Amino acid sequence: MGSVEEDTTTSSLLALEALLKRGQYTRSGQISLLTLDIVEKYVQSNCWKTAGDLITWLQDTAETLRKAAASETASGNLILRLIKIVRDDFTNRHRSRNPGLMSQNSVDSEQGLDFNLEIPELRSDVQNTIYELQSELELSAENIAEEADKHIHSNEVVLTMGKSKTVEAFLKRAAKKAVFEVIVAECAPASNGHELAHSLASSKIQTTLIADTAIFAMMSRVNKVIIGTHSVLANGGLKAIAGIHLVALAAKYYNVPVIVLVPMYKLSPEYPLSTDINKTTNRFVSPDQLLDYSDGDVYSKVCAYNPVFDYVPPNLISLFIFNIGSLAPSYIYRLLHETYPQIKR
Amino acid sequence: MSAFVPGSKDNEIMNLFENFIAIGQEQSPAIAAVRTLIHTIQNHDGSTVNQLVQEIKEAIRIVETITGKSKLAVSSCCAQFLQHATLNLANIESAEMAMCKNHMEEEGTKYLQRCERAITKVASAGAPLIFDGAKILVHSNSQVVLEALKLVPENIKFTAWITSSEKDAANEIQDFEYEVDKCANITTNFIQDSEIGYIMETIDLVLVGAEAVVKNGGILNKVGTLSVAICAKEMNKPLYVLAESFKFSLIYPLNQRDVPSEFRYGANNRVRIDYTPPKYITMLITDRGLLTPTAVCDELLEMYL
Repeated sequence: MGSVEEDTTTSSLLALEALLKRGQYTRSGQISLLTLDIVEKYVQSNCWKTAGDLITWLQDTAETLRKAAASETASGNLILRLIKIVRDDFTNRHRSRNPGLMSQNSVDSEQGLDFNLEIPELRSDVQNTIYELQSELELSAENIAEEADKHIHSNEVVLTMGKSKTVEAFLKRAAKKAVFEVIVAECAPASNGHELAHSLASSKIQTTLIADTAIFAMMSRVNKVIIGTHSVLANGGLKAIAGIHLVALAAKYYNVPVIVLVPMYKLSPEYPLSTDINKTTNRFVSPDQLLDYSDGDVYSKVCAYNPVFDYVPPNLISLFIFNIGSLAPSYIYRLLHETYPQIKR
Repeated sequence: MSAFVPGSKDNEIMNLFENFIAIGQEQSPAIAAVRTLIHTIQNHDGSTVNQLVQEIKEAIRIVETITGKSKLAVSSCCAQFLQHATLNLANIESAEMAMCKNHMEEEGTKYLQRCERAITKVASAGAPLIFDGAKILVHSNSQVVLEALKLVPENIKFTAWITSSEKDAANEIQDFEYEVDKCANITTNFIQDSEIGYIMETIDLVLVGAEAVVKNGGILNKVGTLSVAICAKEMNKPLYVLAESFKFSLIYPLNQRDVPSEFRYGANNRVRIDYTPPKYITMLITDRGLLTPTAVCDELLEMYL
């Protein structure tokens, strides 16, 4: 039995890896759901016996997926979170079996635990948490949108950039209670702001589409900037679509609060260490959106770059709204502490 | 082991401490202090835990009075040691003194090992900060910064500006400069402290050590660190602090005068250390991971409570 199950897990893992390598995805939410499906299959199978086995497999899988696409952190984040869950579930079961062993020192609480101990109940425990995670993922945009009434009031002007599903749901939810205006920066060269403007306008929200060059000019009338992001880094900074940094700087100049909507799987434990994030995790894509292929002659004379991401430092951000609550950037470390396994000391 | 003056516990501890400092030349005096304390536990012949704790406290007091310029690290390290050694005492089922003593010695030794590993851990976490072609500024002769610079792989070539900084002992800065100069991949420039503002625009990142990390995530370090930090902040350059977690201390200064004067002044009554508030610090690189200044308080709570 085990081998058949192993085959299906491996093949779906390979499929996801290929998807990541080819860049054939549009949303990181999709990636995290696919990752969770694979983990679920593996957990249900007979391929593992102990928590140790499961953790090793999770670590290997995270590494494989990271290699496939270094800039796509969603699946890695999710797997790290699962590792923490498996450890906690194991520790809890282990404790309830041997109540005398409890150590008061929180630093050493996991030390001396043998993860290779077989605990049959662990499978169903992990299974249950995976179900919880699945529903959390599916409902994350909705849960974030529930906060909308608290942040958007009548007659306000909200500025956003590009297109984010989460922001879209948030604004539409707010529109049920309040009448407000949205300014959408188009986010060239991908220009997916057009789609958002279209979608908002058809939901009867008063929408203005502007060019990215007009952001600073419009900012003086804006009450709030609400944006999505690709990921939140461990210091509370953002790795977001290129252009967000300029929005954040303009907002800082006019003291406009910047609110970032983030589902939990976008919280990444990585620190932006190099001064220049382009050297580490940025992605450069084809410049065909900047220069037409028909202008082939020009290509030989100019360099055209099309970076995907911006790094936005934490001091430019006012608030993060996660699906589990709101946080200031300086408290991100706390959330990391609770969500991901600790570094071995 | 060392010259033992009969009847004088104080002298015995002093000698022990000085001996341990001499043995572990490269290491921080804080580690020598912890060794001394473990020795105190081993040689204790009293009959209650309370007596033993009193004796450790007494030893800490003696070690602190003679330690000189590393006093900050020594006192925070000793406080953490005491905390560790006595933490799980209540859980020991048998109330026998020998058991308690063994337990304290065991826990203390664990803590010592963690302290000894700390410097390498910090250095290896700090080395990746430096990228090829980086221009870095280093202030004050921190051992852990030196270790980090040495750990940078040889194919990464970078330039370091090293401030002359106020000298405690005539030769220590020279030693630091000499050690850095030995690394083939580092181009070194030695500058006066007054040149910091001038040089900052060319710098990519600033590395400093710390004598103590305080409760709010700020640091106490060699005088001049504050000026470096303010310059770096003004010019938007990241400032990284490399510090072992035994330097985390429960002091909470709000301004320079709040720093206890026993730490503040050096020889000739001149100011030796200054307090750098957390807003100037980008990140602290410690053996407990990379921490933003706000995260320091949580780590402290975990270590002391």
